[in-house]
Amino acid sequence: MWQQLRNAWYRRRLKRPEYDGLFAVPPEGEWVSVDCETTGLDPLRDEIVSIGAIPIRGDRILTSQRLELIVRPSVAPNVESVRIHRLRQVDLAGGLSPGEAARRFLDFVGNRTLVGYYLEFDVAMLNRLVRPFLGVPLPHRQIEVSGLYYDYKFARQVDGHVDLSFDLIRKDLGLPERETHDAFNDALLAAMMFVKLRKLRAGR
Amino acid sequence: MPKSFNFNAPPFDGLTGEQQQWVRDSVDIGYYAAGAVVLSADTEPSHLFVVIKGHVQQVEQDEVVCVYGPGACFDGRSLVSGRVTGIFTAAEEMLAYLLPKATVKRLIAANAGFGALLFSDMSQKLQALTERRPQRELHGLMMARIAQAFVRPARVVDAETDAFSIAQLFENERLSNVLVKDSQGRLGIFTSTDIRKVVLSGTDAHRLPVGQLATWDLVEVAEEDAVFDALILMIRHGVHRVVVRRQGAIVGVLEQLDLLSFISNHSHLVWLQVQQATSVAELKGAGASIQRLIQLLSESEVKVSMIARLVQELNAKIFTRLWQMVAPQDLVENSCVMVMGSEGRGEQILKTDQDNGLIIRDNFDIARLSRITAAFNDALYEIGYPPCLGGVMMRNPLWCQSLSEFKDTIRDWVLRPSMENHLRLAIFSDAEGICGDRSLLVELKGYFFQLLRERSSFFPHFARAADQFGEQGGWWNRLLRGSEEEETVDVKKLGIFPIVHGVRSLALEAGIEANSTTDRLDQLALGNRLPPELVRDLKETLAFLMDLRLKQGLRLQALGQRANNLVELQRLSTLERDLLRDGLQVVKQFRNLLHHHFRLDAL
Repeated sequence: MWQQLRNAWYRRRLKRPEYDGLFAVPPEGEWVSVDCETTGLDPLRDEIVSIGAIPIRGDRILTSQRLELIVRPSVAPNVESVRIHRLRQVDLAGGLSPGEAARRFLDFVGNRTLVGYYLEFDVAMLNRLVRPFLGVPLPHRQIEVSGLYYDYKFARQVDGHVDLSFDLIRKDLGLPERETHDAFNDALLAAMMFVKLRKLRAGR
Repeated sequence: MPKSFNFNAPPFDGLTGEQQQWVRDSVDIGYYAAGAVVLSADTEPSHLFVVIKGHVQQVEQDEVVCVYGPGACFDGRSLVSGRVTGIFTAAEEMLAYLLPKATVKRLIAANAGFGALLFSDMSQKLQALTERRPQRELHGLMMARIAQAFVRPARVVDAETDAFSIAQLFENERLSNVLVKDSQGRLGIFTSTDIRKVVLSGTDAHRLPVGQLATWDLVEVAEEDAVFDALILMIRHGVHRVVVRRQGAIVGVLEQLDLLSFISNHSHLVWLQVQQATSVAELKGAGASIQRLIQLLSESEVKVSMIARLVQELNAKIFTRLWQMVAPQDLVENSCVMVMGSEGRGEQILKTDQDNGLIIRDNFDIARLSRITAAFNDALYEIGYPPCLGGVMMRNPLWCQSLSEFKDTIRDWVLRPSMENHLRLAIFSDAEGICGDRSLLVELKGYFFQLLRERSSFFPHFARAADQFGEQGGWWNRLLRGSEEEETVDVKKLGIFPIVHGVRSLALEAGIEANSTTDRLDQLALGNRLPPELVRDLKETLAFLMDLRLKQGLRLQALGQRANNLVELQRLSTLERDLLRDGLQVVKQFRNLLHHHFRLDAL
């Protein structure tokens, strides 16, 4: 309800009419898992350095149709974050401009529902690219994987504490380990979590 | 994760960088809850599945025929035929890579090794699933015909052609060799390396006929021969090319490099390693390579008899090289090193022990012989061949004698039957000369056969050993009921030994000189001494049991343990248990035949 009102408002403020389709009702049974790597953890100051997005259709994770973008940030990434995502300044020099990255991302995702782990943060970061381009933030429907996991666990152990760290969820769901920490691999694991949790919930 | 797709496992391990990229670009990932149907007769097969996590069962007529675990791929067969047989269900929740049919087809077209591996795996299952009969032998990677490999067209030149023109021909047409024909129609080969000889000869290349520098003893194969046979020939003769003929006419030249890329294995490298070794340590490296090769071939589901033959050839090379290192030249020329037992039959795959001996020419004397033979045995041990517990090694004076002394010893063993002497004769009757003067062994064996011909009463006692592990009532029921108590079956005692020794007894009686059990069986069938159906069943049973033992051995070795003959029943699939049960039934039938034939009950 609130989202409908909000989107109606956004829709009128849209800078680029060709993206009106983003506000259409999302397709059934299709999602896009998203993850970003950033220069740091502050959504107000830090910037995106890479985006990984993988479509999901039913129980299939369409890695063959993945999107992997490198974005050129305006400030150098801090040392700590380079250690995590391993994208050095020289790697980023050939990246896309923020506007181009936003256009490619939106064209790729369309109006499909977004899926992710701690998606709020990724969406906030993406909005720093999208807002200047589109005039409004991402209007997409969003599904939080750790939320699905919480619901699933909560239903089974009513008063237990549920640990929502990424690696614990991965282990608990019996998913393979990620070998490197990058936007694509994280998006892939989030996609696996989503597909599996959807099945587990449906089976209940 | 497409980035971490495992390109180290067959059939994907032979892909080029570009081909790996095709896989990465087109692979998807599928999730299947426990019990979900992955493939069934109603589905149009559109992908090759490579399991990431979990297990999939293939069920046909209510029976599980195959289980696919992490790393395994399925189902190439239905992908190619367009029809799924049976139902594939996720036995537990499963994640799998989905490689589209188009990519698989593209890989098969572009990479012969990929196709061969994909289909070798498939054909192996196919045999097991549909037919357990002779056409099984037509399948398998190594059984691919030479015609399927890359045979380079042959260029034939006259032996009188001058070397300069040939060098020009090489340069202009990017050839590396030509076949040379002389006026009598003899055929030789002249390769780009022979150009060196031209320069070294000091003769004007314009006036030097290539016939003078060509190599004339060519190794030839027929187009319909197995790729594997070509490889064996190359290793045996130490050549890199064989001439391929179709119904007598030359079709081309098969180069070892092409052959190897076709079957993608390391045997050539092992051979080179052995050839270039100048120390025991280097031979040890080669020994380890053989081990890896066995692993690779076993994983590619190459037939166990094929692996055994290849390993026998490579082992013989190691023995020969080692003997040349430790023995002085005159001893090498005046003696014959023989390997015996399973090594002599070509049925030892994993190095379980060394059975060897030395026959020395009469009246040849050499100082400090015992030191040389001991050095040989010790070095073999160092390379990885454990010592023979029964002392069948040339360091033991009993197995290192002059020809006439050996004749006396063997005569003694034949005339004075005892369990021990029969065992020695059994080991000796499988002897194969591997280096030195092989005529010494030929003469000794001839003498042995002649002794036996005069002594028909020898055989029943000799053959009785095949029965020594009697009827162990339990195994049969264990297998049927799957009782928990005894979980292992000694495949050597219950299956391999009775077959090998029974066949050996019959072969000796018939005067058959072949060493390997399958060759002996073939000749027994030819001579109408055994029914052809039984021969076929025995060969298959032996191969199956050896394969079980090999897989078990490789598994134990991977765990750092010594290989043994105990197969754990619970590790076997339903299908394998069925095969084992059928196989042991064949052994029982064969033992009954031996009983009647040698009248063992009368002893």
